[in-house]
Amino acid sequence: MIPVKEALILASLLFAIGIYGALTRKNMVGIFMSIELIFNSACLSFVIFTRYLDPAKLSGEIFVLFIISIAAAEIAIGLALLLSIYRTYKDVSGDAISLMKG
Amino acid sequence: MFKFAGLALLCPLLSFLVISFFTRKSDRLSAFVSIAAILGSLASSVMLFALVLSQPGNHELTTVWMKFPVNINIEFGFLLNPLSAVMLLVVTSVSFLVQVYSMGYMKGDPAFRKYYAFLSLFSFSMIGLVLANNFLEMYIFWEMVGLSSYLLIGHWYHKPEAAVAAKKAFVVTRFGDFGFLVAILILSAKTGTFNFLQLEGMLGGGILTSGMITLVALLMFAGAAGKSAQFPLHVWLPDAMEGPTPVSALIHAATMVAAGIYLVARAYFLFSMSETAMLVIAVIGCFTAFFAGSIALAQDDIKKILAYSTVSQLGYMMLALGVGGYTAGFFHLITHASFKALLFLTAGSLIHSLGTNNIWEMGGLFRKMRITAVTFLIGGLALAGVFPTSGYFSKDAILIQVFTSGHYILFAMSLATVGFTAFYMSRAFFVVFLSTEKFGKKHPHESPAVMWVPLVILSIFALGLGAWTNGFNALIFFGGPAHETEHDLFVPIVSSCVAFLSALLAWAIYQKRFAFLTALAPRFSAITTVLRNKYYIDEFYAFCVNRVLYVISNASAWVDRNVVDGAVNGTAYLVGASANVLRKIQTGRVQNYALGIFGGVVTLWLLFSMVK
Amino acid sequence: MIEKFQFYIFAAMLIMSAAGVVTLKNIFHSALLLGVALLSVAGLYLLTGAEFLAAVQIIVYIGGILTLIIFAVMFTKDLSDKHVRQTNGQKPAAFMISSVIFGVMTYGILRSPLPDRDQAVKIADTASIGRVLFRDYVLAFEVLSVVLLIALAGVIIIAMKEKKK
Repeated sequence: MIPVKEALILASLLFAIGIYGALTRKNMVGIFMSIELIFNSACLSFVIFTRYLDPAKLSGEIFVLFIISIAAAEIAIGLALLLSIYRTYKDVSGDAISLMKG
Repeated sequence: MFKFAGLALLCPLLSFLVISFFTRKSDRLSAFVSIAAILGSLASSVMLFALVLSQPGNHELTTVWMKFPVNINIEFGFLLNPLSAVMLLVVTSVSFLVQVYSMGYMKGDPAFRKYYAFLSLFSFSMIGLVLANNFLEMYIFWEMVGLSSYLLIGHWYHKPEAAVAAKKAFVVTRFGDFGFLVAILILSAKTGTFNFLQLEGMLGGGILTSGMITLVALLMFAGAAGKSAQFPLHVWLPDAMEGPTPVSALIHAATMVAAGIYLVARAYFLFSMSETAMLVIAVIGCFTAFFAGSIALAQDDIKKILAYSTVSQLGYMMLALGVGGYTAGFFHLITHASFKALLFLTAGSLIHSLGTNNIWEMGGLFRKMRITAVTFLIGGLALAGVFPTSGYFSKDAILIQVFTSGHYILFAMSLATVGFTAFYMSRAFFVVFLSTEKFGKKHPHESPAVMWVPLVILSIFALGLGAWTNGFNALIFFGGPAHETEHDLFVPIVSSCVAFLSALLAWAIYQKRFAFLTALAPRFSAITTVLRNKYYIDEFYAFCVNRVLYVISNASAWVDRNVVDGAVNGTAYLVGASANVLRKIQTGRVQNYALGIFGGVVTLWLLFSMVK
Repeated sequence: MIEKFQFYIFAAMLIMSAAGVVTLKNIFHSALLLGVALLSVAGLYLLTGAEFLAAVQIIVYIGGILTLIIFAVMFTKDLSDKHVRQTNGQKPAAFMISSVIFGVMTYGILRSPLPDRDQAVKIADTASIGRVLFRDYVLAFEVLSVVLLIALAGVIIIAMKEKKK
């Protein structure tokens, strides 16, 4: 089986990549995808923790189920917003929407 | 007793408020309110005077106005004694007569109501000054008097000369007032009280060193000199003649300018303890009398003549106080108030009738304006000190005092001043009333009754006050009653001779125009020019201001603009510039903000781990 | 041993595809690589013995979410254009921040007293997940269903074109 620490380090690496993507991607679909990576990193950690530390309770796996469901809802709403923004601005790059510019 | 004092003080204040807030629409009503109020003050001061006559001595009513933890209380109260009662009577009666007179003089002036409101304000302040029982209260009213004077000189503020004169009067007296304030502060810091009677007791007990007393006395004298137009702070008074003539009569002849004398008399317990201060007062007073009297010889403007004459007479009073003639100096204040107010009001009558101040444009008016001429003559005789007018008694009292004090130089100068006085008054009288008619197409006429009645009343005082000499001497004195020296007829005879000869000279020059005298005139042209230009004192001050003060001011202005403003503007610029830079952080882009959030989290994280 | 080998294979696939997701210029390629990454995660779930989660991952993520994302990519035409710049100007800062995050987390993991257990305990079959979910977490499950319902309604309202007045 897989070693715990390596798996956790893998999850944190995935998290870091997701953060990097969320901060650098120019268009919003890219940001969404990065956020999905972050979600997956969290899910992976949950599964590893529950498997190796407290396998009897299964709480981690239940959490992952919830996260996946919420992620689905989130991505649906996000894409709907994206469409709405696109209709308004004809553009979906994060830079374009800067009404709050000082 | 004190209710009369309160009444006398509050009537003009009430009138000022009523005129300011309620009767602004009506000229007649405003004048009526003001005159009624000052009549109330006059009546109560007469009552007060009668009461003080029956019970001489100090009567004090005082309340603590402000209390400070450091054992110093600011009081508000009245100090009634013969000195304040007499002064109060002078102030209210002259105020009353001037206000009545103003009804005629100021008739039709667009700012008639304002004029009466300010007259009431002045009366209030002056009465408060007279009644004050401590230095601080006196100082407050002192400044209010200065303010009313400023307002009234600048009554015709649309005339640039009047506005400038008002400003000059205010600024010049400020120099003196500053000294007065410092003196008060030193006194109160050393003794812990402002109260006259307490201070008198404390100083008698030797609480201050003699050097300190001299310092305080000289500073206080600076205040008195500013108000009473003593050299070198006299320059504002002649310019103050830009105000309406009744104002000149009231403020700049009879009452306010006498406030400096009154201050010295009030604080005489302080002054009399310092011989140096007394000597300074005497010398400055004498010099002012001589100097202003000589300037008056060569003036053409009748109000300027009277103004310099006032400065000169105030110098006399100071001189008298300085040589220890407390009674004589204060008596001269009273007689001077009556005859100088009279002279100013007659001058006002002339100006009202002819529309000019220049004596050379008048002439031969004796027939046209008999009452004015006679009253002017009475005032002039009193001013020159001719027997038996009031001026004779007061002026000779001063001269005797100076003579007996042993300062013979001062005596000689004051005797010369008597000659000057007689000369310029005769000159004015001959030129204005007796010389050939010069008014051309104008039709001079006697002033209305509302104007000449006050003149007559004042001339009665100017003539008759001398009869009160002995009563006055018994009433007002410092230490003990003044020693009578009437047996010594030397001084009165000499001064009368000097006055008579001067008047004769004026008659010869200006009335008869003897050829040999006219031929002499060019020889004296240099002196005349200097006198005409008032010894160039104004020019000297202007030079000081231009050359010295402007350099300093320009340097200060430069510092202000470049250093102070630079610091302020620099701060503003720094804030603005940093805001401009920081503004760019607010990109409105979500990802920039997210970067900030994560960067902040990471930084905190590292910091915490480092602390651990 | 073979499992360790499988883990490294999946790990390598995951990291490479994730890196591709955040760096590739063509957003469509990114989306496809996201699918690879999600599949690798599912493989990792299988390796840790969570078969049910692996199935859910494939069905919901790859079947639903990825499809939606690709749909959005196709829907907005110039997203997949090669000439559009796909990243903003804060690359260096973002790289620094994410590497610090990674470093600190790795440091924490290595320092922490985790049991060096090599073997996952395989007791979690689908039946036991179902029992826990519908007994211990039934309330949360119901709330989640309401959340999904609201999200559904919200999506419809947001995406609906506003009626022209």
